[in-house]
Amino acid sequence: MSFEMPVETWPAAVSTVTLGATAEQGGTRTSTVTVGGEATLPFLNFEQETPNRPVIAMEVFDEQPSEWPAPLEAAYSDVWGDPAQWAQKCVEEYGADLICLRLASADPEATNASPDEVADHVRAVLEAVGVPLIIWGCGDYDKDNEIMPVCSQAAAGERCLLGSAVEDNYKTISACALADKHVIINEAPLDINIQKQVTILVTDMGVDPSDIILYQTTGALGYGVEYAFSIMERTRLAALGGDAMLGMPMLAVVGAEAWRSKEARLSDEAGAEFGWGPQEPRSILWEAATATIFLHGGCDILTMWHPEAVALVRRTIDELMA
Amino acid sequence: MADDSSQAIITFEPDGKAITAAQGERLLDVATRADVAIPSECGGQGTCGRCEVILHDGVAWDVQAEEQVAAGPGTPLRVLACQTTVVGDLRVEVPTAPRRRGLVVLTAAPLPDRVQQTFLEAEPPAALARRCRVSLSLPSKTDSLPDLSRLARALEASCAGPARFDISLPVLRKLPGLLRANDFSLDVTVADAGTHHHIAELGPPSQGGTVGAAVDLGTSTVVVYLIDLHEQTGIAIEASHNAQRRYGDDVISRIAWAEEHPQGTATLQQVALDTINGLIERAAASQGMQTSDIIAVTCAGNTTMMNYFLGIPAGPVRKTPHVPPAGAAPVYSAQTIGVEVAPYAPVYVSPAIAGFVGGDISAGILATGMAMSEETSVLVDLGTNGEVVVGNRDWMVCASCSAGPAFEGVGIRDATFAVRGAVQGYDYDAQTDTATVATIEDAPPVGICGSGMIEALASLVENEVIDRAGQIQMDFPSDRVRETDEETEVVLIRQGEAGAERDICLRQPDIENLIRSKAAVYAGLSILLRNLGLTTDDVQHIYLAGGFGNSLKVERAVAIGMLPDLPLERIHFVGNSSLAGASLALLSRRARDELVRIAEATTYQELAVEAAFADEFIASMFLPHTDISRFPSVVA
Repeated sequence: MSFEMPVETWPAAVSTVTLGATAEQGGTRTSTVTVGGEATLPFLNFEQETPNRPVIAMEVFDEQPSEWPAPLEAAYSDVWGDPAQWAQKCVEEYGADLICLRLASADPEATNASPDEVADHVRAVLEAVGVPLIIWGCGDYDKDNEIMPVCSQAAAGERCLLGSAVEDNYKTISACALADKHVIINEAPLDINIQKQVTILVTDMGVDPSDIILYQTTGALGYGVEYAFSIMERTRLAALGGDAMLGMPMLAVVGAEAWRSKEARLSDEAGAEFGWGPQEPRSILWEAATATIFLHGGCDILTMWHPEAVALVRRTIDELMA
Repeated sequence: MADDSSQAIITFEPDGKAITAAQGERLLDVATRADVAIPSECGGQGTCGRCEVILHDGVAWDVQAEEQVAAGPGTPLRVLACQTTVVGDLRVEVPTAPRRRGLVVLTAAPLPDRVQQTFLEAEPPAALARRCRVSLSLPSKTDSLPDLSRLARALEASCAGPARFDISLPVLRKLPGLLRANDFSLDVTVADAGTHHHIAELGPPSQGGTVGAAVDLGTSTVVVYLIDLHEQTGIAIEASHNAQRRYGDDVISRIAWAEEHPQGTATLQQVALDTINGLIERAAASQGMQTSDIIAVTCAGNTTMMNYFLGIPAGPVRKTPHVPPAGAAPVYSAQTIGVEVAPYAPVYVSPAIAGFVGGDISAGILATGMAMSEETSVLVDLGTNGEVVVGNRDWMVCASCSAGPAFEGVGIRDATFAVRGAVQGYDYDAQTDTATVATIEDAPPVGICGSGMIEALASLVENEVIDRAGQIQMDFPSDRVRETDEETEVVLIRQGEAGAERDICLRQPDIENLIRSKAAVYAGLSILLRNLGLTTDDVQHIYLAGGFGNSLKVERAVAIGMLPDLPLERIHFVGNSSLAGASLALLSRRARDELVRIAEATTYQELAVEAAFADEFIASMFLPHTDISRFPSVVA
């Protein structure tokens, strides 16, 4: 008697979302990225081939980050004064599928750049690279509501991914996505219900469910990663079970979370105190391990920082897709 | 100044009540002695800010600042009554906004036919006390039965229920004289004590009627309903706030207060009795009756209220596993408890189900008839606690869902109880920017009560003044949406609109409070149904009970996701079902038996320990719900 692998089928599938628009599609991108479409749990290739490969977005800040640890400084200090060059390096040298542009300069607590200044950064990066763009505000609601319409307009027709809509601030960004034909990130604080509520609020504004990517404020390895994993898993199970308000591809912020951890930040000397070994491999592995966990949780888009971590995760994706 | 320099005269405006007070006495206590109602949520801890009063012409002592404060003519001073003590003569203005006058509380919707027939029409209903006219056969050589046996023999024939009679010694002592002075014809007041009958009083034949009082002893509101026991008709109703409110707005803070103060339990009992006795006196006076004409009393209240009513310390209710000191209690005389009616009148308390599900809920189950029906029904009691019951004649399960008192108006700035002028119906039309307002007794609006809040919330979300998360939309094109120094708010009724003397608003935190409350109720019901393996489709009737309005468009309660989306004919607003149950208990022995059965047969489920409850609660904190597919009629 031969063994037959039990195959589970689900009533619904995750939506398929394409980011970026080529000239034919009304944009200027040289490539596009398509994510989602899963009809079963991650990488159960015997049930269904993973229709679209998970992608890695490399993060670029529109002003020089302060207090970055040595391994990141080594990778980016030659370009981090110029977002266009930085983006170029990520795409050309490190093979980024997308660029995630963080509009950090707009933060009122920092440089407090004007909407027009910030929009110039968006234009520069769009010109510098041909891959699709994620444009993410500075996190201050009022300021984001000022800059996002201008930045969205600057990238009109490019089908960028705009971040992020939250329960208390979703209207402006929804309107931007509608007006300039972008996709938006719906963010929730590790809460499946609030995630769903944001989707309802945003779709109430008229945004099409197929123009939405879900994002739960993730944690890093050692910092609540298992909770984030289970929320992703639940979200995906709900999506496959037919919950249309949760049936979108998911994004995880890996770089920022992993590099916040003590394990990634402590220098060689400080780490030696705990017998941790040198910082560079340690921090890279921390980021890569965090990303790998989220891949298994069903994440479709990972935003990452260190090029070697990116390379490691890309190899993992290759193996999982094989 | 008063004669004695340590005494001062405190005058409360606008009542004009003046009272002598000792130096150092708290204004809140002086007000209490003067019977001037000042709200207090924190029990006089100086934290809730509800007892704010305005001082005119005089000096006082600020306890917190430890300094003397002065108010001169034209320079009034706002202080907290609980943190201010008497120094000298003072005029104290009690702000009018929270004044709640002329309380109107629904007795109940008409009783279902089945309930009416079972408890009131079948067989002798056997009121809790009845006055029997007995004419005994005269003793003779062949019939030399003792007087007492002779009386019992006659009563047996005319009293349904147990055939055992007892009698107190003072009453027995009167028997031989009374019999012989009245040709062996007497009026005998017989109380149904459950296991036996008690001959409560004897007297010469008279024409006096027999009246009983049903009491709904709520945490916030107390209602007394006088009923003609013979005619089975209501004759007067009076309601007021529970004066215990000054010791805290919810049962937990009252228990805490009682435990921290010597004589705390006795004080809470006395204050509850004062409230009840005052209402009984008012109701009797309105009918030209003496309170001593009232010969039976029933009382339904939550477990804590019921224990304090009997003077039993309710401390254990507060601590896990929330055990009621007394669930059911024997029938005691009014004199024993301190209810000011005929001293011998039996007092029956509706039996409690659990620490947080009291005799008010047993009474509600009784009055809706759900415990007699084959069909599975749900009772939602939107009181301070928020209880949910699911069941039919074979089984009943209940839970308390800690809804909080938002729909009773606590924590909502422009709220009022269901009083004259309370906004109980509300509809907003964005096209014309007009509000349609329905108030109790069609008086000018003074504030909004629970049913008005439900309707307003539904109307605001329908018109997109607030989004489905309850956020006020600041870009809404009307000046009804505005930002004050502290909050954003929606002006439901503008000053002048429908005769309102001031703007009546819902603030952002008010809306959040209401959403939390409705979410707790819905989550409690959902989890309870889920635990029972039922869906809302299995529910044949939903009874929404509470004294928070006289009418309610039930579809509005569905629109905000407080109640599940069932066909509207299955949803019934039943008003104060606790009072209805207490009234039935007053009139019918079968109803009293049924109450005992209900309390024993109803299983209590603790929801707080369930992780699923927290999850469902969060999912329910949305209008109507995060899972829109559960509300097809709302989102269609």
